[in-house]
Amino acid sequence: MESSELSYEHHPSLVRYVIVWLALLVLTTLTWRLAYGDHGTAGLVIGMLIATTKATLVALFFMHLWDQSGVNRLVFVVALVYAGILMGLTVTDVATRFTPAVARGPTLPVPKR
Amino acid sequence: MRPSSEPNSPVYHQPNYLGHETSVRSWLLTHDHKRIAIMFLGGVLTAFFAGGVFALVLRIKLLVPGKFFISALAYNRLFTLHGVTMVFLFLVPAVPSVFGNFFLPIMIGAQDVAFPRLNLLSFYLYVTGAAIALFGMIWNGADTGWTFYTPYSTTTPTDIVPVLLGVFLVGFSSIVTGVNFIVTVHTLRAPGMTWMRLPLFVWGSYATAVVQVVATPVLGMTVLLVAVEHAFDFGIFDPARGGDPVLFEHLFWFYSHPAVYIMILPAMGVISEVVACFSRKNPFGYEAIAFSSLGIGFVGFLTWGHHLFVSGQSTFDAGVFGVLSMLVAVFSAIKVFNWVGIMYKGSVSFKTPLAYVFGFLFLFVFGGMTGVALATVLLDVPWHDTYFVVAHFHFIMVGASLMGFLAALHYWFPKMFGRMYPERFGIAAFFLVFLGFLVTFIPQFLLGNAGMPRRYYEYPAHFQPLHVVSTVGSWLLGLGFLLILAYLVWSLRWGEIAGPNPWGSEGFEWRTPSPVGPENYDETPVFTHRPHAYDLVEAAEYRRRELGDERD
Amino acid sequence: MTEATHLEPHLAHHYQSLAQQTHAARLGMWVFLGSEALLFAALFTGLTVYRTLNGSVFALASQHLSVAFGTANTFVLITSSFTVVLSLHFLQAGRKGLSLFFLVFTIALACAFLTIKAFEWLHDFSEGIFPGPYYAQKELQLPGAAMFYTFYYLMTGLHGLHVVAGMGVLAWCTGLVARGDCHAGYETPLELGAMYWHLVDIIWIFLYPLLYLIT
Ligand SMILES: [Cu+2]
Repeated sequence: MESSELSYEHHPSLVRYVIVWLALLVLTTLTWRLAYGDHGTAGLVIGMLIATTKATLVALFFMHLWDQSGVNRLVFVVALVYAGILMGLTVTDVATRFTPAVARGPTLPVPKR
Repeated sequence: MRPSSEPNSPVYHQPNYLGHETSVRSWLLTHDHKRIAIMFLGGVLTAFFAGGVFALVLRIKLLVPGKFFISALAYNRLFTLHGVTMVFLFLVPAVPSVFGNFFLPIMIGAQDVAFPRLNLLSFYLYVTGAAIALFGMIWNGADTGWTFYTPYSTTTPTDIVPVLLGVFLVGFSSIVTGVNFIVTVHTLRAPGMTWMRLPLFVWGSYATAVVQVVATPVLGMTVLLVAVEHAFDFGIFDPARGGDPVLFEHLFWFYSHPAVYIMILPAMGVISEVVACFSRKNPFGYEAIAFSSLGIGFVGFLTWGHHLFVSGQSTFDAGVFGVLSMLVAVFSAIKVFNWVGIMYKGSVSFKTPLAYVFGFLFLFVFGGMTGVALATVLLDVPWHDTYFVVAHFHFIMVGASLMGFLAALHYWFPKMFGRMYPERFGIAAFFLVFLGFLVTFIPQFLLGNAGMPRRYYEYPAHFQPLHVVSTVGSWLLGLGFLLILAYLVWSLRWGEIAGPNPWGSEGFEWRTPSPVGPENYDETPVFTHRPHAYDLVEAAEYRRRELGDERD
Repeated sequence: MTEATHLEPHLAHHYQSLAQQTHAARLGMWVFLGSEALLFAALFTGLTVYRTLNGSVFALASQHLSVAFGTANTFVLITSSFTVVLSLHFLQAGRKGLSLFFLVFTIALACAFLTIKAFEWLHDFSEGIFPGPYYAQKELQLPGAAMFYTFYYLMTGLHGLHVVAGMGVLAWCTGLVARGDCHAGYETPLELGAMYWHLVDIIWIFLYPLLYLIT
């Protein structure tokens, strides 16, 4: 069935796992340092980009999507797309509501960590 | 593949999946997708008749404007019970778990679904969830309606938690079935069964499975959050504690709008099979029908906000959802035109399954058009939460989905049980159901248009005539369903022996004996063309040679 | 199909080959994990909505969580993902002992994660950080603060349940490997168990910045 016979016997090397692990550790440190700067919304965006990169690394190399047949990769992408639709269209509502209709909390200065 | 032992004379195939083992254990612990389908059939029919009885009681109360027959609280509980039972226990599992389970593996030439044990688990999750939900309902049942809107659902004095847990379990059952179908279609297709040769029912079931797997977990999480809030007072959605009830509606309808496609996509698959079979024509626009299933499955996720037009959703988001909702109509129309195209210049024989297809087409187009109207923001504002909405979604859910279910039940009954149902009774019951349906729900469009809100116990006296007509219609409907139940049960025992292919269908499932053998096929089938290829010489020859079919 | 003789002991009757069965098992696991991801997506959506509505209060509330605990746990979980993949690697290479060692090591890391989590929660409790109406932290009495912690407990709690489930799966895999029912040439149970464990890791990868590092 499909191309799975090829990938079925193929096993990636130990070196690849170690490199990915180290990359994940570096990215985690990066996320952590990010919280101590003053980046505003950009901080959130960068934080989520790093998290997505980390998740993709785990999926591609630890979960072997890199070596597996296309349909498995499709499942990963489809799950991300639908989660994005759910979050995107819901948050769009909150972000574009008629301001007086929203009981917002107070806006306060947030001290640096 | 084993041809029937004597060509031309129908036989009741032995050994078959029904009779090769007879102990109770061999049923309860079976891994056979066909037996699991039959058990699901028992489950969903029980739910359907229970839900029907609740509806009849509701309609009796509505004969009279004021207090009558049942108390207001009982009325609130009953419409909740009716909605929960019909939506979660009947409509969602009806076609996929019964006919999908039974025919999807056979249609692609497989021996079973990919994960037979999970399939059995799915059935027991369904039974457990249904039992917990129904127990909770009878114990101190919820009075929130099947939509569980917060903050009422999180503060109601009735016991809502068991119902929510039941819904969660039934949802889990739905996910397991979806996973199974996706993997089965991807990995267990027999030689020659390419994607572009998949029967259209398989395409419909595949698209449904994707929706089930993606949407259902969100519902599961949402009902759990409501349960947590009701039990521990966390204030997740409660505006008094800074929560946002509109968030609940977003999460709920992210599932519950696509849930309409869980109900209707497999029914559309049935329609595609039946139309081709009884028109004896190749599926016109096969690719269009197949891909529009996937299209509906995807676009259906972009429209849920049309349920929130009057809930405080931002006008911007409402506009976006309103426009996106229209897209579904495009794909639905593609399907309808193609079905009509299949019938055009076909040799149409008006048998009960096809009668239900006509019923489906009429009600689906009617319900769909009112749906487009309701998805228009300005029209929705006055119609919202009136009987107009109730009538609209009954046209889609009962009209379309149930018609698809009944078409499937009649079309595949000979294959599942080896016997025919009485055709005259079938047609008579169809007219009774169809007429009863129109008499029940057309007055509800008028009531809603005149301003009758849904779920109200009492109503102004000048609405009474229309309510009475609607109630009389519900009796006709009930009578029709009882008639169907009666002759189908009769046919199980005394129906004419069907033989492997009583319809002369070119659907692949008809290449198996009736009832199907325990292993589906004696040897792995090889497919060389699409199903319903009535113009292919080799297909006709195959029918004559292997199945003893003398029709052209 | 009935006449096919199955020399492979792990091959179910309705599959033609082990490769086909493995492909099905992997795809099934992927679809299931996709479904799990959507389960969490509902919670992430709720968190994001309330963060949009209560911006700076959520940032203040986030600063009362212990970044040290959260960061330590992130390193623990990422490393456990690495060790479980090593276990699979050595099983494929036929080195059962090393495979078992890394499996047990992974479970130990999972225990460490839960222990750190427990200490973190105890620390939170001592400051009056409770979910919903029980919230009693003196320093931060603003509308929206309780909502943040409610989501904090819901999300870390549900994730914790997944950690416990994942530990169960890995323990079961350990038994299979130890008994020789899962071995070089038939690694599917461990492979699927590891996939589940990676999902637990991936969810935490998103939880970490969204809960602990709001600025
Ligand atoms: Cu809708």
